[in-house]
Amino acid sequence: MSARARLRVAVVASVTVTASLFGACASGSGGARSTRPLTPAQLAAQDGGIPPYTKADVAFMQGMINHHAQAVTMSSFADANGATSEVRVLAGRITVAQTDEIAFMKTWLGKRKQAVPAGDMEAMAHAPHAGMDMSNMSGAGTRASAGGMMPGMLTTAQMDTLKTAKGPAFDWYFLTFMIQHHRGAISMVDELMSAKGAANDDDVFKFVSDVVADQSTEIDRMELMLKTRSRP
Amino acid sequence: MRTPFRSLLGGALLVAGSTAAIPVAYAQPTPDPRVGLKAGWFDAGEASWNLKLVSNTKNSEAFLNLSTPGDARLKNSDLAFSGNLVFQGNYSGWQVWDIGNPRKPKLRAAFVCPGSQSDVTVYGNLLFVSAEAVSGRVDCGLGGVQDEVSKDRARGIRIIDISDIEHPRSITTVQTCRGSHTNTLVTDPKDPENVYIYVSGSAGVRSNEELAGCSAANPDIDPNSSLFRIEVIKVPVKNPAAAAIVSSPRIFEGLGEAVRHADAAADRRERPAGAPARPSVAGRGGPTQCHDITTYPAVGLAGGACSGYGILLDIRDIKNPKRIYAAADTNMSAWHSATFSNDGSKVLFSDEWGGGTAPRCRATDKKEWGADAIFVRNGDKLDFKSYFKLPAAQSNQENCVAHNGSLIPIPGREVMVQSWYQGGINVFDWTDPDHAFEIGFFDRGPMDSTALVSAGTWSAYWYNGLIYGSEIARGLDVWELTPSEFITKNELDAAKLVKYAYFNAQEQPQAVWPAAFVVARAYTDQLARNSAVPKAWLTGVLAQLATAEKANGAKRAAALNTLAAQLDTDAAASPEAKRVTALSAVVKALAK
Repeated sequence: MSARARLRVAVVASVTVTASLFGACASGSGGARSTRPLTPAQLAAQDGGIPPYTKADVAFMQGMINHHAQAVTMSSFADANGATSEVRVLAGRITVAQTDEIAFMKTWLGKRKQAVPAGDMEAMAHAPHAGMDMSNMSGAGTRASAGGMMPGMLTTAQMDTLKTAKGPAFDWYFLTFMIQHHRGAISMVDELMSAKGAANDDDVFKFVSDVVADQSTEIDRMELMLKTRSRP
Repeated sequence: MRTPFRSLLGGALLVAGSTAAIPVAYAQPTPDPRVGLKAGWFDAGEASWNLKLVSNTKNSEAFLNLSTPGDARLKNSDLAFSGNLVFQGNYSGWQVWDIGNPRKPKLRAAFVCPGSQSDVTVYGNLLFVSAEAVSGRVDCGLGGVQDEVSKDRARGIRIIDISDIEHPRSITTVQTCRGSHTNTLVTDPKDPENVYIYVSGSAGVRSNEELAGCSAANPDIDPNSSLFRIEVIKVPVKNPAAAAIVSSPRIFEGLGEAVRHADAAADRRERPAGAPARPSVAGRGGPTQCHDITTYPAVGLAGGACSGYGILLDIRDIKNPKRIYAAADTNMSAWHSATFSNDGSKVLFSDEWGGGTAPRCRATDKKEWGADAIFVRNGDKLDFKSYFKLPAAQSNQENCVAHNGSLIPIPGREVMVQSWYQGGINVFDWTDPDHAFEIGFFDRGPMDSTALVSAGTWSAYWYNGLIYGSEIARGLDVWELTPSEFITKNELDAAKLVKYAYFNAQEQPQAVWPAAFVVARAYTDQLARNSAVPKAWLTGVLAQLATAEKANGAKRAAALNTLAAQLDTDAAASPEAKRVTALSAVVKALAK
């Protein structure tokens, strides 16, 4: 412990703080138990502001960056392909939301010195899974297989269909594919949450909870929008 | 007797000009001083307009990691008030401030108990704390919970005995399937033995191996699904250890109808209760939960901000809230909070699009996204009127979106303070639901000039004369609202007469003003500002009021009764009938 750190602890100890409701039951990760438990700030100072996280958390963030990037690409077609204004509003929101979330995930990974995927479709087009026909994949509940696509992601064929569809056909494909895409994201969260120790980092927990809340709301909205449209 | 006031009535009132209920010019400082503020943690640049920062007090040492600005584990969350105490939630516990001297709030205690987001409510000697994260422990210990299924995990409502504020005692944790993101304390004057807690949880459903009865299946597969419902916890005040879930109303079940509109004004869908439910769809997403539920017992209603819907609930039977109406709007994403107008005729819903961690107030962000939506009650329906958003563009480094606020009890107006995370706070008037406008603000620069570090005001509430704000990374803020062309000293003094013994924002209290001359003058100031009555008429009313105030006993009563009678007569002919009637009511009360 550096002299500076010792000083900080001394300052903390002089403040009237009941560190736990139940006495000295809290302890740091791996630190020797003292008579006085660490405060959250002391614990946080020890790990340099990086709370404990798991491999599953990292893999989730890395995967979700590319997953989000595809949604942003899908949304970028809406204006030029003659989507109705209702769908353009939705696509606009998805673009803003998922671009911001990509930035958040990149920061999260960067702070932890983990590999940060580029999250652009050019890079992904050369990824091993490109070209695989996954059109029978419903998305929801589908787990990513090794080297395969992440749940809900569009195949190259689906992406081509969306890219070329116009007007009412575009609306239908966009909504159908984006529901599949969003459900895939939710199943990725479900998968993460079933991993031991995952999402104990508050940033991760908050992020995945928001992904589920936002995307499930949008799925609901898209299902309703789809009801008034027929398959091309 | 003909008074000078009466003599002015010969038609003058009837031809009075504008019926505008609000000032026409909303002049704000230009250039907006909120743009381009210097970044910093405790030395960020500050800008304010019609608001004065009274104090900023850093977190207790327990929750202050000076080596990491904006440490996610040490975020402050919501506030609750009781007497001279402010309870401030923190992702790692909560702090208690004594605000007897608001210039120097004093830390009374800080308690470690991780499990975000620790939204707090308080009632008597009981503190209720929301626990949602998977890392929260029953023993309040640090280190999280690693196992997927664990008896150590606390997700639900922690109930704490705070009769000895420095030595709180955990009474129990009422565990729920989705945890508690927020909670609403609901009291019932007819049932003083108990208080009720509405629990909203938006996170995933835990396994039924961890908590029996939990189910993430859709209701068509499992009728006991943990989705599509809230939990109501009954807490016997004298035996809080017996607190338990008494009902799980499915207030969102059956919601859904096609969206047929695209643009803002027409872009709403409305679905009265009782209309046939859409068939449930396997794998259906939302809405499965509410965020805040603001109860308004004075009118027997609650506003639920529930995923993609703003819903109106009948809560006259507290244990069994029933949905009356649901509004949706494709410009609204994550309906977050509701605030009723004091008479309950209007509701403002905020949309915390993206959960509060993203910068949604940039110049490129639409003003109707991540904003407030104002509705007027039309019987059991809600009619959309307009959007309102923080009008100053924020940077990419500032998380900003609509968040918590409360009414400032200025009689005759809907004036509200609201937090916008690193957008700061603002005070705005939504008396006219079609034209809300800003009348004051306070803002700080970002935490960091090069990166988005989450911080800013989580919630800002008016409490007994001042505004208190929970700054996520910078502790507790206190502000004073200062008189301006938009709010007179009389209006502020009238607002300060409304005192609450305790305040939990999500159980909205109805403001009731005592009989006071300053309340009458708050109304006359509004009549003067609105230019809706002739000046000479108003001068007469003010003279009458002044005369009455100087008089005593029977003379005062007589003068006031005469004035009241005249006001009642004039109200009918006035374009400001409601306000003149309200003024008359104050004058009558003063005569008693």
